[in-house]
Amino acid sequence: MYEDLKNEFISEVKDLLAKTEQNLLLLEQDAQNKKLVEDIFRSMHTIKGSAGIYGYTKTVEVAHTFENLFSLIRDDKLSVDNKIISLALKAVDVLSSLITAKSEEDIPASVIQELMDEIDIINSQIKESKNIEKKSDKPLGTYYILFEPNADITERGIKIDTLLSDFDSFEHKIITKYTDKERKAQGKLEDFYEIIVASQYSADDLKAIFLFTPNEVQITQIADFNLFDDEKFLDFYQKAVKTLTTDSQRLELLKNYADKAKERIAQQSHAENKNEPEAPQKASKTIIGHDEIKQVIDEAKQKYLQYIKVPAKRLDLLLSLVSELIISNSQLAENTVKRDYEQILQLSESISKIINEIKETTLHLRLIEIKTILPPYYRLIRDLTLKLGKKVDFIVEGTDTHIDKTIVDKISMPVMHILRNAIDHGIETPEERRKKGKRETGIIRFISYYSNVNVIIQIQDDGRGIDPQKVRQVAIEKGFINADAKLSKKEIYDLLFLPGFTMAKEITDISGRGVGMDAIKNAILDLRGDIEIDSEVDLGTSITIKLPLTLSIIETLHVSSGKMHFLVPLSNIIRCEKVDLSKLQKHSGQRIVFEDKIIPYIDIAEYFGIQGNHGNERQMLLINGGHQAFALFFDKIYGEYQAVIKNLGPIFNNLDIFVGASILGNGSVAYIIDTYKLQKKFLRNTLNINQNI
Amino acid sequence: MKNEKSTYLFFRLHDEIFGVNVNNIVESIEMQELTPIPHTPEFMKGVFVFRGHVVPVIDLRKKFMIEEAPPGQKRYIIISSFEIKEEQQTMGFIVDKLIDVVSLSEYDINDFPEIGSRYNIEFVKGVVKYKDELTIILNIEKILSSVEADIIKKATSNVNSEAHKQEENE
Repeated sequence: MYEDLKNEFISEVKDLLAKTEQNLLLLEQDAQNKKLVEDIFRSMHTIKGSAGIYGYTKTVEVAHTFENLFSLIRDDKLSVDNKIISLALKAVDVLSSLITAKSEEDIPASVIQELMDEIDIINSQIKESKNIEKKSDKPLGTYYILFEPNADITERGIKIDTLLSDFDSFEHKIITKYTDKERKAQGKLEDFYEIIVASQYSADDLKAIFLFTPNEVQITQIADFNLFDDEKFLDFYQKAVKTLTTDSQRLELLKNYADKAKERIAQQSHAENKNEPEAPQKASKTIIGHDEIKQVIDEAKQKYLQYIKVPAKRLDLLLSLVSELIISNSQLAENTVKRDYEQILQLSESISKIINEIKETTLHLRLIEIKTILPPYYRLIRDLTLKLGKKVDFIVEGTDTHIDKTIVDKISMPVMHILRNAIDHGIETPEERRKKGKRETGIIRFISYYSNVNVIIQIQDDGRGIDPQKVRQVAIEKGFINADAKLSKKEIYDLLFLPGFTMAKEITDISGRGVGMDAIKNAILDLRGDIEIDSEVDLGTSITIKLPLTLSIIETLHVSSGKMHFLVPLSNIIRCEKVDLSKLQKHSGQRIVFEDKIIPYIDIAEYFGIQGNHGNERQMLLINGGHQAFALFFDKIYGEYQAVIKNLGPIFNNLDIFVGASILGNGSVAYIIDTYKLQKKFLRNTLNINQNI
Repeated sequence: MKNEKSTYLFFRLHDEIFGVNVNNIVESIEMQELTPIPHTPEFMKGVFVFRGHVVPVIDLRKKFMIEEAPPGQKRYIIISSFEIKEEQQTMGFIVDKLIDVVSLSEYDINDFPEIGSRYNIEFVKGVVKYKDELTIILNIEKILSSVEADIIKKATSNVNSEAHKQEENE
């Protein structure tokens, strides 16, 4: 149970950190945006609060420092610049490593210390200049805060010291600890606290400090001005107020004193400020609104965060379908008793319709918006362009495309590498671009859209492009192709995906360190997708990734060989042809000549050793194998089949010629052939053979 | 707790009795029609559909290299489920006959006499006396990890033989 909650906490913090990272990047573009500052501040506050509950003390420490930094920005004591953003991003990184690590202790203390030191430097600079800015910062009022923690507060992971340290940033405050043994009987701690503070915020705003203890605090405004401006106040508090025994008496006395003091101060300041007009910026100062605070508290209450967000509409639809199913099912039972075959037939039809709809809706539950993978990319582009001295606009189109969550998770790294390549090798330096007559700032586009049962992701840059002649040259030099090989432009670009193929003359820090295009291609193929490169010299490069919508269902062609049934993914089949084995023109090795091309083939009956008389007639499926097409021979074709993939289990993971198995309409089992793996296993010797006749 | 009792399912294979802990056993059913899995070791008899899952089945006689069961003999499948590499592996084991369900504590299980044994000592947890017959208590997890190794070996040997065949043809 605790582990579950902790996992939810971790995933929640990850979400908040991702949001913060994005907000920071936006803030860099729009330094005056107070809403962003507010968002970042609140995220940190939430992280600090919940990290305490789960015993992440270092996280609390970092988040607290981070929060303070942003409270300074919020209060206009610090302005946002490049340095602050970099520092804050660093803090996000540290927090994310703290939260992801098995134990906080795994993160070296030096990393945290270094970060804290850097933030401290900024904080201390502010404090030095504080006196100058003080005037523009007149508090709105003085508040009496009674904080009576419940006895279980430490069990809930809340540290009173940390909580009260939130008042550190307030210049005028008195915090007094009282002890009252009788409180124990009411389920309270013996110790309770009275805080008198002058603040520019309203009582509701101050409540945000007690986000996790909303019922243990009372905040009363005792004056609509800064009571600490009254010279005698501190003295009066120490000598008179503190001697009273109950909090209500103390509050009463304070209120009385404040009323009298108001008149005195009003007279004083009237005399002082006579000739000074009101500073106009006071009115425009952003103060946290009541609604936003409420939102924070609501968010904090939503502790049980979902891992996948599902629109309620979809769940409603699912629910109504299920109830429809239940009704039809009871009708079916009724009619079965009556032996009304016509009715039974109709009902069975309508039930299968409902089931189909349920299947579709359930599948959609797993689909999430593709934009969830974007935030790290903004960060990558920012960091890389700064480092390389390049300028890039990152333009995103079609972010509401939905795709299976598993795919989204796995596609993130490959796309990261592609973007890295685009910035490192594609986009030129501003000078180079100017010489070519291009805009100094390069453009990288991330486009996604649906195409049939696939989702297409395109990453385009307007950089220097890839010269096919150069690729060809390198391929010949490194022995990947013969010097006289005739390859189309597409085939040349496909060479870039071959293992060990690299165009990089020198290995840079950013790319060219082994994670090549072949690794990217493998990752995409693992998802049953495909990847293609297209490029024009000096116009740019476009990389197109084709992905299936979901991993659990696959469109296949149902075929058989002897008694064994197989399913071949439809997307990999180029076409089908009936052939006669005795009339086929055989070439050396397991290859045939088909329409003037030499293609490798696998006779499934022979390959899997399936017994029975197969005769000479075969159904040939021409399979798209990336670098080269190949043929699979089966005995019979049945038709298209939408297969739900069933795994045989982890110990069969190495039997990778199959994607898995599926259950056919008659209840028997058919294996889903992984054409890519089959090709790799069976035909790997023919890969480097000259592809032309 | 060594004296805590747990339940074991006893079954017969050829002329010997074996026992397995019921903790990981889902169900025992009569023999089913199986669809073979290509490119797997001989003891991997195939798969069948059980409650919407595709369950692979091992013939324990073949795995232990006991002679094959006479044709027409009624046989049974013990369906078990384990967690391997954080994934669920369901697996069926073909046996000759289900005999009894017995409660045993760790104390009841004796060490396996290594001498004269024809079974891989790895697979055996220990032995107990059951109605004057020596009964071998099996460690199914160990059997499964050996099965995985066998599958990998078979899969790679297939690749090699294919490659070999191609070279020959050329």
